[in-house]
Amino acid sequence: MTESPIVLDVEIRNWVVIPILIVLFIVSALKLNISKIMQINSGKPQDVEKTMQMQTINRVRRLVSFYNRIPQRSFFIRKSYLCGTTGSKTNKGILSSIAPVQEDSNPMNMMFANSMFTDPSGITDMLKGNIMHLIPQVTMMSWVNHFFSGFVACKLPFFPLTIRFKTFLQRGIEMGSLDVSYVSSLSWYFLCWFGSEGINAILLGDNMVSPDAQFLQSTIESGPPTQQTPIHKIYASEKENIEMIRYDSIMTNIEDRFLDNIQKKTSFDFNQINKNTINNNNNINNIKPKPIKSNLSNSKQSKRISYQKPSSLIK
Amino acid sequence: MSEMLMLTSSDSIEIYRYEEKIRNSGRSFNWVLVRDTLRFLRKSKIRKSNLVSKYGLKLVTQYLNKLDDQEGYDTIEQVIIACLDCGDETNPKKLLEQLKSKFGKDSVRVQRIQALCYESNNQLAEALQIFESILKKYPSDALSMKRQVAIFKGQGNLNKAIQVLNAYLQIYMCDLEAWLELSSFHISYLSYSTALYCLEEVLLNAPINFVFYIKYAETLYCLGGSENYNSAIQYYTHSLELNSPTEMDKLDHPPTFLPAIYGIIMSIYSMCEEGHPLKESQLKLMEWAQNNLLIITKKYSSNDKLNLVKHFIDSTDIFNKD
Repeated sequence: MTESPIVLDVEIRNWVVIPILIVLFIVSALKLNISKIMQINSGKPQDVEKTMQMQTINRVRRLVSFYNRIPQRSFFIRKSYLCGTTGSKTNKGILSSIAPVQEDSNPMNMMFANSMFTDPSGITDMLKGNIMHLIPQVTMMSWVNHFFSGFVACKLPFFPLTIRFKTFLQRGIEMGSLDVSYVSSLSWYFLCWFGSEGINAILLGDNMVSPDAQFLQSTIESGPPTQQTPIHKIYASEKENIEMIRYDSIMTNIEDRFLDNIQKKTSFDFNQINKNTINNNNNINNIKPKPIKSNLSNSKQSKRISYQKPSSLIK
Repeated sequence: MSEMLMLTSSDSIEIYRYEEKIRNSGRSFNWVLVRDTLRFLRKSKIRKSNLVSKYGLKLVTQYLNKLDDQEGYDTIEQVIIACLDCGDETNPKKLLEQLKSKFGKDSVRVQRIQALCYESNNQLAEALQIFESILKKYPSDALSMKRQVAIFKGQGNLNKAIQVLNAYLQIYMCDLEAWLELSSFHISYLSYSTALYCLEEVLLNAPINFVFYIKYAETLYCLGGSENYNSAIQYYTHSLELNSPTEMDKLDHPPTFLPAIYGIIMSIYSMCEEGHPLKESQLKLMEWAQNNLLIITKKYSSNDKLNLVKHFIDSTDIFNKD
């Protein structure tokens, strides 16, 4: 394929290629500054309510799994705090405090109820960000497309590209025979747009918002992760979980259990112990046999033995 | 204390390794190693103020341009806090100026550090003011609330501290360290039953940590009454279950369950003093505890201590008295 090279007008370079570059740079600089202003203004307050709800759920789950570690009375205190006391109208409990009304009252909430955008501020932030990127994009594109379409703007140096780049490099020019290294103005605009990000970061370094803004914004612990299911449903199910618990402490008969374990693992002989203690207490000579000694081995159930107060015995 | 308890062993091993490496690197300053160490400390939230202030300071003063932007400023913040921990006042001020010029005075994070500097300078009123203004903007800022509690505690204004801590726990009710702190406030007011409530919350949050069971049992013991002594024995025993004495011989350090053993002996003795009937298993437990206490003392301490322990056992003995 021997083609005579197309001679491009110098005016095209002066009035198309370079202006697009300059305009792109100016727009991205403006964009940075504007988004900086908008981000500073949108210092959204933290959602205390939300954090509390998440923490409550967490706390309830812990209570459900580890209730047997705390005494019965403490468990019931917590239960009445969370689920309310039965029959009482004043104390309905924390977990019933959220009424499932929000969904129906607001069509917006209905729409977003099952999506991740339950937080309205999140929506506005996203919209803002999108608009910030979208508007300059669209205007610039239509500007380039309107004024500079229909001709070759420049030629890439060095080496010919494969035919596949044609759609990428010659957007707006449908001509099969044109060499791939020629670039249309719209494609030039895209090339500059993608390529300029790194250059902007260097040139506008001081004003670059993104990392600093993150630093500014991430000051506070980010809020709770967005919730999929509505909170009152989780509350209701957790409430059920608590109410299903039949209280049982791991502390009952813990002494027996512990001693059994010791005996198993170390083959501890309790008769041996008694001798040891006797030997150690050498200042006491008259040792009376322990009252429990006889039925130590056979009785497993906790048998109560009344003991007299030693101090009264001394006198 | 609680911070130490929160460490998982793998983390502490990791940081020990880092420390060794830094110490061994000698005079040459290996900034990559220091950076990695600081990064790890930030991630694992371990507090090693000495290490950070010593090596991190050099990192941020001489090698700041080698760190990337975001990390560099995170590191500066970390180093400032570590320096304040170590009582260094001049270096944090310089670094703070750096942050201020970068982010302006309005950044919440910079304000917090400013407040911390005020605190270390004993300008508590200014610090409190800053924290309050942050809280107005971000009502659930955990650090500001915690610092307020710390300031009030330092001033001895426990009422106020309890008040703020309650507000904090209203929001962050799963923070076991805060519950622990609140319980200690209540204990210093001798309101043990309130403290017990807080400690129960701690137990729910850290159900396999034996130390908290001992603490709970101790508070129960302080409350007194045979019922409470009984449950104190149970909780002491449970802490022994979690920190098992059967593997004592394999340990390379003295056993850590002595508080539980002393607690068991004291609780059973006090229960006996009250004239409350003892269960058979509790008597066995008492025997075991006395015996084990003697064995441990023999193994790990000198003779005069052994005598002390023997006297202790004699004075709390319920078997051989008549």
